[in-house]
Amino acid sequence: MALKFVLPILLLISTNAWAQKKFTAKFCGKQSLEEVAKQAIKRELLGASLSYKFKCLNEKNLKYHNPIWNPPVEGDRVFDIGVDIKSIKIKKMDLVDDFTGQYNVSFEVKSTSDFGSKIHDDSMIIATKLSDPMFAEYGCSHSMQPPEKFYLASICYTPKKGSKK
Amino acid sequence: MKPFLLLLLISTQVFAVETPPQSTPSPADNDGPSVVNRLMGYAMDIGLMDDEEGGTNYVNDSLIEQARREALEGVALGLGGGIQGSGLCSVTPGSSRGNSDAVRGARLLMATMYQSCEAPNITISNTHRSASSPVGGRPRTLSDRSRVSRYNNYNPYLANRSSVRNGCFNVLEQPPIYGYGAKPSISSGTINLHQNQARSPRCGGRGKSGVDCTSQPVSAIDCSGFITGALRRMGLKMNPNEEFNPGMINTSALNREANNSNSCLGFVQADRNFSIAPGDIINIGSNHVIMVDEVGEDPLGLKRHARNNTCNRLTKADFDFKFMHSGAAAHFGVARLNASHPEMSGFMSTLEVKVRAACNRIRNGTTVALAQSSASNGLSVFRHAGEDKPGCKGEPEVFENEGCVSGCGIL
Repeated sequence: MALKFVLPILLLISTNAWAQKKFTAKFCGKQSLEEVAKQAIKRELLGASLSYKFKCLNEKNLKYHNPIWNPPVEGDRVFDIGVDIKSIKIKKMDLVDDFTGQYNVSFEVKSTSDFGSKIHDDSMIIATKLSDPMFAEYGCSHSMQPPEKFYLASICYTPKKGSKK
Repeated sequence: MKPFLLLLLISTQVFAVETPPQSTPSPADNDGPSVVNRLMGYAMDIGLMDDEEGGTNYVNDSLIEQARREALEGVALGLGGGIQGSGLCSVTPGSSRGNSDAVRGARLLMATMYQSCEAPNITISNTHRSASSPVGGRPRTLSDRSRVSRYNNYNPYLANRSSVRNGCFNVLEQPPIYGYGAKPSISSGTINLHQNQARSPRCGGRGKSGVDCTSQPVSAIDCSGFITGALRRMGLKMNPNEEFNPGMINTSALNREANNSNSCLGFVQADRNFSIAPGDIINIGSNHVIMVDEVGEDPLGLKRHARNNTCNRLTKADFDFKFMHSGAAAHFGVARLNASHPEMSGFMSTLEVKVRAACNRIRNGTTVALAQSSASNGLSVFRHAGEDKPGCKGEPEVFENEGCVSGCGIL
């Protein structure tokens, strides 16, 4: 008899929790550091730090990040290199600060054929031990220092004929 | 009974399924405080301010400046709590007083930009947002005269000014907006803030002023142009005995300059008693730079959290300071903001991480650099050495149209 009352309530709570699922220290602590870093790079390649917002930042699945656009205030940053987002490889992760979980993530990514099909080595600094409000706002990491070059995943733009090599 | 268990199982599974996160919705705009702020701005510009009892006081420039001067003198005397703070620092790593020259330069730039003595004392409301600003587009534009009129009413530094005093530049005809890439020009010791950035060859997007060529006439300056213009006005140099061109130093270059061995920019040291002060420069290379103008008793929350051993609870909500910048917030360009302004959230988040890291290192009483990046696109907090380092302060320049606000008593 009690189940008639308890189960619907349990279902309601469960469904509600699912709908309001948020990033937390607990959730993020269960994810592999490498996967969190890879997602942070992916977010940058989707145009998170460029001057113009690309729709794909919201459309592509970001597992451990909110698709927040953080354009620079100074300068006009248009992407320089179109890349294949599936080609991201993490090469090294150096700990910068343990307390805030900051890592300097070295990675490589391959440019598309219209940008010369080259391997580009770069790095970015992410923070992974965030305050609760920052977990909720950004996801499992925050970009402290974006990559040096301005990349954009080829899935975010239509390549122009005769674009730069 | 079994269907119930099945439902429960499904429910639990659904809960465990990872869902792609959704974009954080923007908080709804609330015009209430904005109106209050705007009315405050109006009142200040026409010299009317309500006192605490609800009566009306007549405030003039000299009263405002007297208060300002007393506050700045407090800073110069080493009152580490800053303009609002009252606590005397017992331990003061490096210079405890910030750089009052830098603050004066920035405040004078702001007054000159708006041709108003009141401008440096007005803090924009957190509800002044880009989404509700009459300035549109990238490159930015005020497309017609009606937009200019709406903007002049929206911008608290211009609102309720039906005319401009004789001898002043007409900022109502050519209002200041934000232009990414717009720099002050310097010629024969004069820094010009009022060039029309909508005119060729300056107008345009990448590599230009960030103002559309079809815009009505506007003045504009970008974030590093604001900081370097303020420093140059006061004769503050990047390196001893070297002049610099404000148009040639962007945020990346500021980081590089600070890392030069002989730089006039020193990284701010923090300990359990002291962190940022008026005049300190918070810079993210390739992104944005601001100057601290006014600090509370514990401007970054370091004092409380380091002493209580609660550094992991420090957030940007603990920040208690005001700053000046030229930025995209509400498309105003030159403005004074609270650290809590929502359009500065990303910038302050990066600062939060740096401050938390510093907090953990100073808990045991040590002194550390608050934020020091050797990369061109990292976050650093630095302070100009001013007269403390030989050759770092030279002959000051002047702003074009500065005469309009020379009686404000800022210097």
